[in-house]
Amino acid sequence: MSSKRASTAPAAPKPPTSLSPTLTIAEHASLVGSYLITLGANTVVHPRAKLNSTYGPITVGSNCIISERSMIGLQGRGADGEGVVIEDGVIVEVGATVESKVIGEGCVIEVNAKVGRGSLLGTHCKIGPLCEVAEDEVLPDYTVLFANGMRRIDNSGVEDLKLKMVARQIDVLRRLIPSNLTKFQ
Amino acid sequence: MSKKPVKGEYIETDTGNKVSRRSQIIGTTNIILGGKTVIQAEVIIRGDLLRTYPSSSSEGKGNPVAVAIGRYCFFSRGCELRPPGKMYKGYLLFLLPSSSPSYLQHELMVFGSTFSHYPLKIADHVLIGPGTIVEAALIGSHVSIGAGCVIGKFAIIKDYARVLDGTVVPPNMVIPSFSVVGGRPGRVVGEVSEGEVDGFDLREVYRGVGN
Amino acid sequence: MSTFTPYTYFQCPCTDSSPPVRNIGSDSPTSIHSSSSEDEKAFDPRAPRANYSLYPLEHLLYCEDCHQIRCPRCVLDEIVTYYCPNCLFEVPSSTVKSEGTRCTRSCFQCPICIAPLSVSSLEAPPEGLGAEHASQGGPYVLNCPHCSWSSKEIGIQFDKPNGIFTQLSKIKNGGDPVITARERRKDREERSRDSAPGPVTDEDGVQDETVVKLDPNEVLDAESQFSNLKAFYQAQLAEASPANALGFSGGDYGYGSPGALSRIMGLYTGGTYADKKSKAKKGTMREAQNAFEGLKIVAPNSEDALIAKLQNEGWDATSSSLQRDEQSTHTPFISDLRPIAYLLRTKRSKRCKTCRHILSKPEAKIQTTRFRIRLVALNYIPSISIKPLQPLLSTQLQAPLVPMKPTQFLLTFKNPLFESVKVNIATPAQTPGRFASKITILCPQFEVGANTDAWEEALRDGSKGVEREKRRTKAEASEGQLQAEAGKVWERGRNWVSVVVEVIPASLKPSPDFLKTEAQRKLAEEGGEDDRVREDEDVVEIPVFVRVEWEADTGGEDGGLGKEKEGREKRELAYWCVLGVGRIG
Repeated sequence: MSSKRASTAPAAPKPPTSLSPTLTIAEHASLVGSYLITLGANTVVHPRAKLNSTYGPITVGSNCIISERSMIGLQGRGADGEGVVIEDGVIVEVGATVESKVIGEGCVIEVNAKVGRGSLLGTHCKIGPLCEVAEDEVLPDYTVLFANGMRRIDNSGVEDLKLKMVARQIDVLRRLIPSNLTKFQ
Repeated sequence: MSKKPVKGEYIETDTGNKVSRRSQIIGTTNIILGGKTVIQAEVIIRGDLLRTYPSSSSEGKGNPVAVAIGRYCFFSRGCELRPPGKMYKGYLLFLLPSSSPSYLQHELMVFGSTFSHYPLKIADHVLIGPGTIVEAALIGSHVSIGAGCVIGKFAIIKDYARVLDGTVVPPNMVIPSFSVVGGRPGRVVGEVSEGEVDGFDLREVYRGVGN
Repeated sequence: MSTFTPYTYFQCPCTDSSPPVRNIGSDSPTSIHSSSSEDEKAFDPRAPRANYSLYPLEHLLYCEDCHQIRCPRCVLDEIVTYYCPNCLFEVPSSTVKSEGTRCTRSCFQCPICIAPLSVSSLEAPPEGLGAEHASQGGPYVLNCPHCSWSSKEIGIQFDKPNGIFTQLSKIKNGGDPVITARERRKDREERSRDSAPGPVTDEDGVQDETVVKLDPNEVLDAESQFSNLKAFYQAQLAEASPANALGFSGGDYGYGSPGALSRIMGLYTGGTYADKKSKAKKGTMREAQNAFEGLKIVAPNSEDALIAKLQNEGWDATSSSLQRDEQSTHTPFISDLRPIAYLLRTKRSKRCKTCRHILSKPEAKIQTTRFRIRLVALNYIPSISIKPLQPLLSTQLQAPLVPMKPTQFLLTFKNPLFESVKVNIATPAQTPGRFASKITILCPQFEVGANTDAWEEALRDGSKGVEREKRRTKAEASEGQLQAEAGKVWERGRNWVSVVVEVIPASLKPSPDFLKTEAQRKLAEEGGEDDRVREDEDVVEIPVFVRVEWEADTGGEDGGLGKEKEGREKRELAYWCVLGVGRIG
């Protein structure tokens, strides 16, 4: 365990990273911590997104969008080896907090939603704006959280379409957001 | 209300905009400020999320606009303005003027259905509360949005509407004039009464902001 | 520590036991006659009925003819325009009458979460070279961007992306077509022609001729059952009461005919209203006999399927009461829900209930937000704002009040009128309720200067003037009076005056029995000796009786020379207010 205290230090430690060459990461994104941060192919990290690996490694798959102000990674000390895994095609919207163990493929974490530590999200889940997933909660595939924590199973069967739309969105964002890969390597 | 401005917290522009030094404005060339607008600390404005789908009008001259803001708007601490984005299917060539350059058409052929951001337009006397995230398409004049709200993509908020604190306005929602909207997802919960209309004027608020 | 912002509510005088009546011929306004009796009984803001009469000043209107405050309860609303709140299209009132009060375009709300639904294509967007030539085709669905619900889940898809309302009205959940009202009518006519000589006895005889074959015992959905029933009883009524032939026959409103009315009254009152004639006619009426006539026989096992479904699919498959409220029919399961067409909204003008003058009238066009007439109380009676006197506290407005520690508040009265007004304010010595705080108004009588034209103010010296004025009075305040003086105004501006009110907040601990007043003792008995602080009981609410006097021009023209007293009229307005000053900590 590293003896780094919470990110009070102005010069945060530069974490070890494994970045895909096709990653788009804005200069003003912040990667801090001491564990490994892995970012997959074609993933886009918006400016002012915060990935904090102080308390555990972070793995983000390919074709993901990590929006500004979102906080990825454990925000407090956890069990050994615990980390955050985000699978492929996941959108983390503005201001969302993700501490979960696994976020399944094609999930959408909406604006200012919170996904508690240790939780397990199946594939294609959608956590609505301001909704929260409790610690250690397990959500089956296609779960939708909306309103004041209401939930349902989405069986509209348009997952492939949605994944394609994420890919299209990434195509556009790659052109709009200047990437500065070298800064984080 | 109880901000303790450090010396020189705000930069005042020629048109009287008061922009906090601690705001995070990205893509400034694509943002229009009408004047006398206040932008507080930690406000994010995403001017970089430009429209990639070519507009049928307004081609050519001038900078493209991602965020257009009118006069006497007030953006409270920590709020965010973000142009909405969506998939655009079909119609592409149909909307394109025949005069557009051929290389553009080529690009359209490749991106037959594509994603694009669209400009976020905000009229005059719009108050946006702290921590609120706005991805609307249009916000009319004299609109008051509370704290901690989420304004969904492509929402249209008409004049003299009020959005209560903590509301989640769902994407594509149209809020008619004189509506009070609250809840998750937001719904019209009341009407703005005749007497409240004058209270939406933000000139006094603007004057109260200083270094 | 919940946050607390001071508030002021005004009581509309229409809640007085006597209804607001205009006193024609006398100069004095209406409220004067009741004021003598009201002086004795203070208004209790905690009375259950008070909730219905207190409004923020912004919600009140003012009738210039009655010279009285008007609240939403004493105005009449008149609809100016109907429009859809989603597509913002105006709906003519004739359409509202024929089609109902819902948007008949493509505006729908999600039956699960009420967010607006959007139309989208189910087909994957075309890709690759030349894809833009392949126009995006159907099928289309309604889907919810908030909760991801899709009309596909109830088996409904559309061929076209527009005119969803019409398309939806033809599809049942699951995708089966709805038999339209016209088809039903046709079928009904065929049937009645065939069986004209007598009551329907033999359905089989009809079948060879009908255009649309219908099962006489089919299970009808609620809508078609209603339309069948309606048609059947209309036919019966037309036969039964010849009065219908005079003008109401055949129309939708056949129930309104005198014959029908007396029959209905007769049914409900045991025949006292029915005259001999209709009694004689009664024999010719019969009830519906089959599905065509709207008869629905409830089979004993009709709920078995529902129970089975409940057992199989469980709680998650059932709809919530909120979801059911939005539906027009009984929908026990999620799969029964249908998209909700947007309810139309209205622009309304408001009239005074007493004198029928218009108090507020918006422009008819939907896109404009202007008013033609807007008589709001804000422009007629002084507003009252509250802030703690101690400038130190101004940063921590929400600090709770300390029990038994005198706290001073500044009440600022701002005059919107162009005449100076005399203000009298009075409060009971103690706030009503179980926890009585002591109140003292240090200056109960003062005059507030006239308002000036907004233009005048702006021309004078723009924004700077306001600040300078403020600074001047602040300086004065800090020089001399540190302690509020009885009988003196604390601060004064052009059209505003601040006075001090002192509050000694009550202790929230129950007072010892011997200190209790008779009223408190009685209250305690009624409340079952419950000493706990109930919801919002810790808020200090001060009832204040405000009387405003001023001299105004009478009608304008007849008072030609302003100097003469004849052209001036003394006006007086009196009303209760409630000031919420803070929570006791």
